[in-house]
Amino acid sequence: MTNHWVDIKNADVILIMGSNAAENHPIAFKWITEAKNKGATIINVDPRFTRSSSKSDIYASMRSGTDIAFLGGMIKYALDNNKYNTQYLLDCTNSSYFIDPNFQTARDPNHPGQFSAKDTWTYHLDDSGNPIKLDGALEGICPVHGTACGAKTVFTHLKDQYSIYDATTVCSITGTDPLVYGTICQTYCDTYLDYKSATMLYAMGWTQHTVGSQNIRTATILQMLLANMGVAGGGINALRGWHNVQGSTDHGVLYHLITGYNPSPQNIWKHSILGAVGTTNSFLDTETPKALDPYPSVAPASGNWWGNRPKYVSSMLKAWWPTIDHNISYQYLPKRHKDMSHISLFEDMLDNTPDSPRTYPIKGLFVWGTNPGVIGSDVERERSALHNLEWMVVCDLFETETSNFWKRPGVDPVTIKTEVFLLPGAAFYEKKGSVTNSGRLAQWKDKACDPPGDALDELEILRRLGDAIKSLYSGSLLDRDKPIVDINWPYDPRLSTDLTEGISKEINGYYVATGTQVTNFVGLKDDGTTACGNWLFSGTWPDAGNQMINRDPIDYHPAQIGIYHKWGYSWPLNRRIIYNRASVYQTGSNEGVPLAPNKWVIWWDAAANAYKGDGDVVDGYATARPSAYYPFIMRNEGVGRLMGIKGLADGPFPEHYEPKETPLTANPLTSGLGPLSNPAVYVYPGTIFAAPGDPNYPIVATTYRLTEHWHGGAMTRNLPWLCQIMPEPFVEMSEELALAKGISNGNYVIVSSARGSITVKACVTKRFKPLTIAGKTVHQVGLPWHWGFAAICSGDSANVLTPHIGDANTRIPEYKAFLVNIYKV
Amino acid sequence: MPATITMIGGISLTGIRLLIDTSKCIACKACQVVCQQWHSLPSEDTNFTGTYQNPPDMSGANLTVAKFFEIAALSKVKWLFFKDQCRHCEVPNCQQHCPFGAIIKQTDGIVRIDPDICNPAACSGSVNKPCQLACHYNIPKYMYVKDGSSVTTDMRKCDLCYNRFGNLSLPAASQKPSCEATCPPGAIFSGDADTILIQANDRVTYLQANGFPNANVYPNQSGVGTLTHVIWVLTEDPAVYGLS
Repeated sequence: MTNHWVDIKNADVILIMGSNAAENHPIAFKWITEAKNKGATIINVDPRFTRSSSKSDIYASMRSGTDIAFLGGMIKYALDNNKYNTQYLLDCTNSSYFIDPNFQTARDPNHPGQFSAKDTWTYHLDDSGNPIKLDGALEGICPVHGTACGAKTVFTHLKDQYSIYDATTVCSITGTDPLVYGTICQTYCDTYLDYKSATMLYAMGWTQHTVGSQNIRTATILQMLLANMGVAGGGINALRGWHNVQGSTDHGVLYHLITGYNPSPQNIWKHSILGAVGTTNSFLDTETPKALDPYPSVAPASGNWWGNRPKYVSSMLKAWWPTIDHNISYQYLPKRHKDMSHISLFEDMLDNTPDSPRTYPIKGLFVWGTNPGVIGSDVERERSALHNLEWMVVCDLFETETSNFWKRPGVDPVTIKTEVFLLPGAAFYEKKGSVTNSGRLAQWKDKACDPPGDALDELEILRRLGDAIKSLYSGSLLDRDKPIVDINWPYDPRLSTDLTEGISKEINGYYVATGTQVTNFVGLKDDGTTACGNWLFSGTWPDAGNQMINRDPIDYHPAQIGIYHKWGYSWPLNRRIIYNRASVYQTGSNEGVPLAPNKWVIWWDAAANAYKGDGDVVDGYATARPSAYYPFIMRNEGVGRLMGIKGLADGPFPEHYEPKETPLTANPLTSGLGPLSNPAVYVYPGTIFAAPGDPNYPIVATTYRLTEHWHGGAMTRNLPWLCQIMPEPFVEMSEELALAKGISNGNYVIVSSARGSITVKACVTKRFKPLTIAGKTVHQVGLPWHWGFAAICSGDSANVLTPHIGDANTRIPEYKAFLVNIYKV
Repeated sequence: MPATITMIGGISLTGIRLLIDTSKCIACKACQVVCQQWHSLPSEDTNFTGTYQNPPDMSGANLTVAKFFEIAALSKVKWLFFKDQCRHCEVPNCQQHCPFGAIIKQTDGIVRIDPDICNPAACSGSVNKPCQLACHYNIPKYMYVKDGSSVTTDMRKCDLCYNRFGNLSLPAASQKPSCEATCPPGAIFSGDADTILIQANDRVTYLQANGFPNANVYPNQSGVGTLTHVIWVLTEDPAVYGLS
């Protein structure tokens, strides 16, 4: 979240789209309800009418997988009706920046539905290499080269890109009622006014598509057009599920990241040495952005916070290997050699068969607190991949479909060679430590009780594992063993004798020479004198002690916007709303005055030449006046990107593409002239899909989760109370589809896709309706995916049906849109 | 709040009242689970019957159940939720019909069944016991099914977590019914009976002016027969929820 849970109460309009807050984030509804009580309008867009829809003022149905069309039409509405915030666009975004003259949007007739070559997705530069922008206007002629160069601004390209996303076209793609769509466009875009804000609450409904990253991009464009970024009640807010999933990605659990959203080194020549900024062909030089200040070069300047990356990476290396020069210990980090996302790992395992062994096969797998035997897409394919492992370790509270894959129905255990170990872990109340919620708020908790039996806190399991591995390598003088021999395990002994606290203090960081804690990441250095496990959390445990344990329930912010600075600690630097520099006027006579004074976040008092007290922590350069720095300090040009520069694989602007499996044979946006589905996705060899418009699988399906169960179900399908309130899997369908198929409510039905079939009960409901898509009737169904063959309440897994294909950028699987057929048993 | 205040649309009542605001309920069933936890009740057997509502009704194992209603009007769908439970009548008919005097009405208005006195097997040969037949709302239950077998219990219903009020072993914020303490959107409130009724009437007025013309307080509190210590704010006519 750019904002945080409590801040939802400040919104004038709340768009719940790609998420289902009432069912999957019930606590969020505390704040949605509070906003509603103050008069906010709740809009919900979802393929089916959910418990969130039931509490919304406006509900719109849509076909799963058409979010870019839906949001793209809202962008066009805002542009056509002058409902965008010109001053904000000029001051805070790249709207007025010129783009390479050779760039063409997906509206160019020579390549409909696709953009010009990727090397044109760049700023138009002057002779000094500075991007050229207009002052005080969104559109115009290049001030350096005149009309001759033909360069256009981002804003001009944006208007061109979305020129065909009119409401009629959009609704023929999404199936939404045009009247409702018009109401949503108007209601949402009316928040372009300075004093209004709207928030977007999304989750897996936006990400789990072959266009997942671009769904989010479309949302950010709209939020910037409406001046909704950085302000109270605004932002792009990913609702994250498990209470620490935010913390897990913050700490580098994703394959392409090390801690604090620094990139993981790759096996490429540019990453061969750590180096420094300005060093040829080094990791830090390649990965540290240089400030990109526009022509003409006048204040404000780009803050370019990622220019500090060398300090953060060097300090992380010192935390892990304090006695080793960080230029040497950089060599200890593994260098990834390819995409190692979830699907790719399972495809690699699958690919290693006795008949065609891989040269470097994946021999073993650790599975911690996840259950790919239920939550993997094309899940029988993923279960089968486990057959090819030599060993697998599962750490969980219960036996799961993953740990039990070798004795699942239809499999003869004798044929499975994989040796499986089950380590009993601890539930959240059986261990102490911090958890970080979606709002980036780290909160410390104590342990309520010990885990039962042989179960252990996972930190203790990891410590024992590390100790055992270290002892195996002790005394080795081989270079290849040094990463293990030299590692600081489990943490610097000067910090504490308590494992959890010691690691937390290492994450905060300390001075290597003295062992005293650093105050926060502003004190980190790239010269090896500081150690810090994760710069984002630096400040959580300074010398003054653990800040995550703070529990003062008073909101000291004068505008009572729910900042609660003395409750827990929010990264970075206890800032609750990031990009908050964008919440005030940037220049001129009203510099520093909030766009919305009644719900101000920060307020620069010109007379006092200082920010008012008890506001939020100012985003970067805390004492610098607004006009000193551009507000989006994490971008090297300092402004928000309406157009993505290089960035994503599939384009600098989002474009509607059909899901990989679609009931249509031509992309209706480009009248069939452009690509049907996302041309930038990777299709794994051997994966199976229904053909476009496949008559055998005419029904659009989507998957989701319910309030009553958690994700892969290991934690909830073993709890009798929760099994009782949602005992079995089902498929939701409209009364119209049920009638056509002769299905009654509660009947057993077979749902089949190109990959497999499952038997579940029918939930016939008024909450699904057939849609009219490009002139034809399309039915949609939905399946919750929690179930599997293990646990005390079991049932078929919806993911037997889902495709093994991912987003063009992240490769998150397309769980949300695929094709099925349905028969009564 | 003085007990003598003259109510608009309601008779003055002393003691505790619980308000369940269905316009805020998201039917997450946290109230069901926490109720079983506080009362140390087991799960019962269920299966999916075509609705999210589960268990289908109250039982010896479940003292409250969120009920789901789908309606469609003018091409708009509504999904209504009703957290069903004992109303805690000011004049509890069940109490008057209990042959053993097992049903207690506390001075704060809470109506509860003493499990040490209640004995369904002894009180009537009929499957439906006198208190059940007497209840206007079909609330008390004494059976459930577990692992395929029928289990008989003492007669059970909501006791408004009477032993949480003023319970100093709980944090101050938790000294109220467990469902209220747990409800994520804050749809449940307890407090002084008249204050809560004013709150309910205010909410109904607000809802009627903001898209819910049929909003009402249920039971309507207009006479002794419908005067209760648990009330609901409904967004539709009670009949839509199958209530009379």
